[in-house]
Amino acid sequence: MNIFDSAGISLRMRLENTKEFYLFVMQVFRKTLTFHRQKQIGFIVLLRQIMFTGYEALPLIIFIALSIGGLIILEGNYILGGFGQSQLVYVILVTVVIRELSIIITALIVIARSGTAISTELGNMIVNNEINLLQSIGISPISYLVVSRFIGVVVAVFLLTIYFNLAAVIGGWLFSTIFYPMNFGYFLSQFLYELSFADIIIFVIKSIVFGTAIALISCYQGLKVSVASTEVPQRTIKAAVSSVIAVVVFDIIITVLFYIL
Amino acid sequence: MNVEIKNLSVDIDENIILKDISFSVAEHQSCIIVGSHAYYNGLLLNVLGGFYHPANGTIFIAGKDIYSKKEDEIVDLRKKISFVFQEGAFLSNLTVLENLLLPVKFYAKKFVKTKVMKEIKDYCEYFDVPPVLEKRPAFISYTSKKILSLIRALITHPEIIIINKPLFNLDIRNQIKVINLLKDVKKQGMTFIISSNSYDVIKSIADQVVHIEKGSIQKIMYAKNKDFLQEIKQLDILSDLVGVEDEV
Repeated sequence: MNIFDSAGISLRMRLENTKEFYLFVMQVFRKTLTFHRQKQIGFIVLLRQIMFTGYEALPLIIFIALSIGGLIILEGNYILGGFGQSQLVYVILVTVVIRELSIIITALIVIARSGTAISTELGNMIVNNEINLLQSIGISPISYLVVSRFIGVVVAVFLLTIYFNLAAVIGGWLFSTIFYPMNFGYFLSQFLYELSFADIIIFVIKSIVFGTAIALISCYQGLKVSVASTEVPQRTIKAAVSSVIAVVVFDIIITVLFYIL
Repeated sequence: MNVEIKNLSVDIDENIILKDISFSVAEHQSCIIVGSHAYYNGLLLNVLGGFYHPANGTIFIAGKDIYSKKEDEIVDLRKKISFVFQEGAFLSNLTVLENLLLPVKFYAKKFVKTKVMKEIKDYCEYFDVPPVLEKRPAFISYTSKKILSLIRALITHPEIIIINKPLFNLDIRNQIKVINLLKDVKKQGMTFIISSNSYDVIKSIADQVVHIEKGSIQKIMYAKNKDFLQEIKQLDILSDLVGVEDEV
């Protein structure tokens, strides 16, 4: 087999995988639209997913958000204060934290905690014949397992990003009071003055797109396990790496589109 | 419901595993699939269960080609077929009872828990299953899993039941109970497709035996033939209750 044959086979496999992923995504979207009508007991799985991805990740998100918000205000005050431009820290808080960091960090935490967990769980379910069991009963694994996880992760990422932003603002205020004691109301009003409607829109779009990408990629990779338990960690790694790449790529696309439009 | 398999071929990673399999099972009949390699028989059952797409051929169940239709279109058909996996197969995040009730709840237009619970209780008493219904599947024995998966299949009152190795993981006492239960259930008119190398299972319920070796049908034997049992005895792959375990 020469180098062109290998390249051809590799390209064909990539195209087949892309087509397969596209069909999977379409199937998930179609089933999601009819989720409320499905008699498939997926609601409990949905609640469990929101609990696991959203609620249980909350302490970690709040800890990181408080630290990031505080450190940005601290550094901003130190640098900008020297130029007499301390009021610009609010602009930095909005631009850096609200538009970028909050969503990226939340997405990375969700990939590390929930994306890998979803992929591992679904992979193990295949190995243990649990997916075949659902199929044999006539329950669609997409409706029962994937749609509930998909909705759960999207909702959880969205909510966690809101919590992240709130905690980051509180962290920023706490740290700024070290140098310039001020009441929270004043700090919040300055922050809200800099926060535009476009910032909120961009944060909403990004959190939904990131949540969608993480959930779909993790579920797809988990369900790609065929028979052996040794495939599970391999698929989990693929899920994590692909999710990180997808999040970064979508972040760039959305941000660039925002500035172009 | 009758089952008809025509020119079925199955490949895995482009290697042909099952070749040109054709046979049919009439309504209320029992078909036992035997062979020295359980792998082929298990794969055939998985294809019959709709879990693995064949490379070629068709499978008609009640006149419907299950692989030419979308999953949504054969849900009603699925309700009439129960599948018992070799090692049970339970959803690990549900309790044993939730697992048992899952198909019944899904199928029932109006779910009457008391009626189903009585059936489960009766079967558990028959098999002397320990009180494990509220436990997670990870905490119950393989024997209990196998029995409970059979119970799960029976309480949906299917028209066809596909069983992969009915005596697997069972001690002799429970093997006898399973065989007697299958005999009783067969009298009620259920269609069976079973993969098993047990002479006792064949003797008790078989209407036909399909012998598969290296992925191809070697012989189909019918119970209505006079020399059926003698033909069966000639197969040196079978075992009985007093021998070593049924399925290797």
